[in-house]
Amino acid sequence: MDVGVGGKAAKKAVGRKLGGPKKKPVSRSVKAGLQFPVGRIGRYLKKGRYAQRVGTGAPVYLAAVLEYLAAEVLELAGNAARDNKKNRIIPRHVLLAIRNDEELGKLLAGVTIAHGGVLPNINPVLLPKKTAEKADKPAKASKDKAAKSPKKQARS
Amino acid sequence: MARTKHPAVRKSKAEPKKKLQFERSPRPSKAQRAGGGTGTSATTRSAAGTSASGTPRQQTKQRKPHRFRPGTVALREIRKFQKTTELLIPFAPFSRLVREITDFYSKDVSRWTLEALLALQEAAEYHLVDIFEVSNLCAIHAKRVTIMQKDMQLARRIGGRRPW
Repeated sequence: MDVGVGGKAAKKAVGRKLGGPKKKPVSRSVKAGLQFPVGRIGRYLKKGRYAQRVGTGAPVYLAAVLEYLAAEVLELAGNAARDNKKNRIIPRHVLLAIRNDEELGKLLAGVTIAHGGVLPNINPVLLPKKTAEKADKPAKASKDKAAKSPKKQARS
Repeated sequence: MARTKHPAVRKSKAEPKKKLQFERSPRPSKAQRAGGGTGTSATTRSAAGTSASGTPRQQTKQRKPHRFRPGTVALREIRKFQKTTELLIPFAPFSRLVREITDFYSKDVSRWTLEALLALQEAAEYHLVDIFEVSNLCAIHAKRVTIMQKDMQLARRIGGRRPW
């Protein structure tokens, strides 16, 4: 048994020597064109015991989905930061990004973001009425016109 | 014979101190400005608060302190606090309350990390803000703008949370 194993190893070594230098390892994230770690996500899927077996395409697919969601949130949060004339994203910008987006808001409806605050929102019923002020202004203007100017009063 | 100190007798009466006027003097009207006085005439002097002889005359009508109408400051505070993100409950009293409740339920557990207390306070404040938002909608639904106890009870009841 030991001899056979040793023979196999020897054959492999000889084959590599004949074939040339060893290939540089390429990560699965690079192969899939992703930034999120495919190998790590695969390990989490196995360790978490979500199923007995995990397919080879599952961690790649999941990494792509997570990367897309992260990119979407960060894109909107970056826009919110730029609108506030800031170069650094803070929790407030993340909250504004999520709550102003309909689909992300629905996805994260039951989520609390620490140091996020709330969206600026005042019910129109609570705002002061402008109509009464507008009605008063024309009446005052007509009264002023009717009254004589100081120069005319001095002349008379 | 022992010498005693006698208080000094003042012959002349002390002049009253001049009143300092911190408020701006009322601006002269257009008619007074049209009169052509540049500040030396009797009219402008009387407007400034002193008579022609130079002695200060008592102001018959004091200026009212400025007051905003009810609701103006409330709206201003709403705008202010909706912009900010800091915690609004003071940390020390909240921490004492948490420790008191912890002590009531468990004598063994008595220590809290700072992160745990901050997380609990964030959750508590967010929960309160959420209830106030829904209570405000309940009050507006009842054609009111004042939140009452019944609004908060309705908000909690319809929210589907546990009855405590």
